[in-house]
Amino acid sequence: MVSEIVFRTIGLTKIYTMGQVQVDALRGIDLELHAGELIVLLGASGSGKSTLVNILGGLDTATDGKVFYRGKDLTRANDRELTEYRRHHVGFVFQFYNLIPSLTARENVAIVTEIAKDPMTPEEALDMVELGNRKDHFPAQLSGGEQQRVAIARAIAKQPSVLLCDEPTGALDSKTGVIVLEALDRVNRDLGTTTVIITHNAVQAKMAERIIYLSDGQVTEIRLNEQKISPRELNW
Amino acid sequence: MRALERKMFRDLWAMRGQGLAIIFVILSGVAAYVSMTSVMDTLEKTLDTYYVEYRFADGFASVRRAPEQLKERLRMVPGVNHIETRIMAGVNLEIADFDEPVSGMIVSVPEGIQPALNRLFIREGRFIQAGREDEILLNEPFAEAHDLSPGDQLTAIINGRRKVLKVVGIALSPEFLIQIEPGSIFPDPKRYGVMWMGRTGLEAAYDMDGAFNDLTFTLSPGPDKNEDVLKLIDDLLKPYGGQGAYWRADQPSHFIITEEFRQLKGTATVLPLVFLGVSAFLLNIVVSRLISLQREQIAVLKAFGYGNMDVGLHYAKLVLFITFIGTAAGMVLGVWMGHWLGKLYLEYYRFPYLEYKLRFSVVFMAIVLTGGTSLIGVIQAVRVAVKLPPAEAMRPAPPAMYRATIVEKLGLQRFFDQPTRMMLRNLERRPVKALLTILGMSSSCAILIMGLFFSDSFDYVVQVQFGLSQRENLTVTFTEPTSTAALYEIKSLPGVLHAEAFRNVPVRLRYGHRSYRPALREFCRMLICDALSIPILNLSRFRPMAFSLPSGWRKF
Repeated sequence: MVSEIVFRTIGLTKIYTMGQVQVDALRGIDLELHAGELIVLLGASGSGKSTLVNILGGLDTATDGKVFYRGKDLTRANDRELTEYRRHHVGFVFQFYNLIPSLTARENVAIVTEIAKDPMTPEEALDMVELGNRKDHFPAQLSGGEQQRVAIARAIAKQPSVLLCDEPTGALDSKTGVIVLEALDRVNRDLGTTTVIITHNAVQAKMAERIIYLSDGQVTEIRLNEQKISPRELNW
Repeated sequence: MRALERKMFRDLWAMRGQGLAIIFVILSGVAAYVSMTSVMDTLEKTLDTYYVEYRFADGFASVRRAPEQLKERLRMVPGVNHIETRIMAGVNLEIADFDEPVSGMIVSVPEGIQPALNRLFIREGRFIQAGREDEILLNEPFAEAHDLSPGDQLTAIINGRRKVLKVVGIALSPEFLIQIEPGSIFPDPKRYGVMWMGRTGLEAAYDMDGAFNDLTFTLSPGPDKNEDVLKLIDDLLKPYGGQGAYWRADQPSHFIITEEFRQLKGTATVLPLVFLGVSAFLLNIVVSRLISLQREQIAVLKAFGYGNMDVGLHYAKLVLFITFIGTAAGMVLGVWMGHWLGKLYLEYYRFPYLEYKLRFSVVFMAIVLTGGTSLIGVIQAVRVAVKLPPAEAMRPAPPAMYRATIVEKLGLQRFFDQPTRMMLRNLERRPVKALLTILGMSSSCAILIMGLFFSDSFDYVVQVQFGLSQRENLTVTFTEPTSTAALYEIKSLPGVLHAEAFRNVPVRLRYGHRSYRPALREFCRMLICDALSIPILNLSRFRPMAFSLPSGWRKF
């Protein structure tokens, strides 16, 4: 199957300077991600997964190399262009949900739909993650799994081309984690959103179409998953 | 309402305690600014209008006794527009049910008509009728102090003769907005009063028929007040005992009132600025902390496409909302206080009217000042929030940079335990902050000491002035220079322990283009005492005051 290339990275490098120490977070990453794919980035802590996703999502900039999003060079984009890019094309799901505690579930989604071009309504987004009955609850009134599903609803409400999830089940127990992964899988199928899930849990990789292994800031292996299974069947 | 605005209001609600405290500080600053500035505007406008409408003179001069014909020659002085002569005389008064000595100043007015200069505002009653030698108008504060009203009578010792005077009206004059007895520090309407009487009556009483002892004048529009006019007037009055002409600026009531206005203006500027400075400081602390706590929320907003400007505006709006509430409430309170202050000043300054006016520019300035200082207070914190890259904001803040302190580098660390090292490193890491904190604490200490010191120094001044210098129980002022025989006469009165004489000499001090008419009574008295070596002060007990006058000063 030949599908459109959403992301292409060429020799992507990122060096962090932390005080007087330089850390090579990414060391020449070459990748291609396709439209509608569900990809799992697998690697140990400090392998560069989050850095890669942050650069793909326009949250961070590369030290060297190129990143193209649908042919547009993100490494040459200025701050305003990156903001526009994040506003209209990318959805993020973070490990610790990062909901705004002073806003209800609906309002947490609305904060994104209010600035997006062609969003679904917050209610529709919450229905997609099966939280239609928890719309007016504040984050503090929701369980961890529910909060993460609100975060997913928030990420998908703008109908982004790309959904980038950084350890979405990292703070959840396995049962709740499965529910969250199911929601991501459903969004990927129903909306055709290119979905990248970061994890260090090898079991979760079984739900992906492709698995990209990272180690020490380098891609060590890219494996096609011929036997993709439903999140419901995952167990860890 | 947009979700981001909801967030702002809920953030505000969450920090309502701190917000309210800041609102109160802003409110106080704005109320002080609006009330004091508007009252100052109102007072200045009222004073100007009052002076113009009631034709307050530009210059004044006193003379022992000058013929009325001199008026024509005075009118010829270049620059002089209008001259009015009059008689002013000090009198002793007897007020029913008030045992203490009361003195007064009688000012003549033309028969049956308002004077051309220093016109009177008749608050109550009527003007003096022509030919009625026993009718007087009383200055309002004096009348109020003794509960006198038209129809009442009082007894005056006019030129040694007791005369019953009939009060026909209560009046105000631009010349006596502040009514202070010469030589006094504070107005004392119970013991000193100004009154007006028909000229003919006063002429007869003081043997001033066809003569005058005081004059007021205005200048022609155009030329600046120059010393030549005064000099020419002084030259003309000199043969008749002229005591020196002076401008309105040196006229006691005007001088005191303009000095007070100047001080009020200073307070009206400094006080609000202190409040606004404190509010900016508090906002800086509160917003910096809020932004630091919301670091991840800022990152999320940015991750989902909110720009730097959106984030910056979000926090700026939060600050401006607090400022707006404080400013709006401060305006309302300020206008109310302005009215109240206006009424208070009206009682004190004795204007015939006071129209409270709030200029738009005052409102505008209050908004700009509060908004400006608030934004300046938080600009750095907001800038940090705006500049934070989203990926960095998502991570916990990196540990702050610390290094060994100078003391430790000197090898003295063995003397310090861990908590002390933390404290020292904190201080050395943010030296400016530490310095400002020390400065703030020392300033607050200084304010406390200053307040206490002020009270002590005032006690000291009072002690020196009234305990050592002016120790008299009574002062007797003579209308004419009197021989020392009067002093012995007074000394021989029963109950008098000690009496001493002094002389008031009007002088003008000049240095280069500057000139100054000092309050001469104490000055001359000291000079005379010094010259005659009268030991009125036990100066050895009071080292700071033990000075001798420079020899040159005795030449006066």
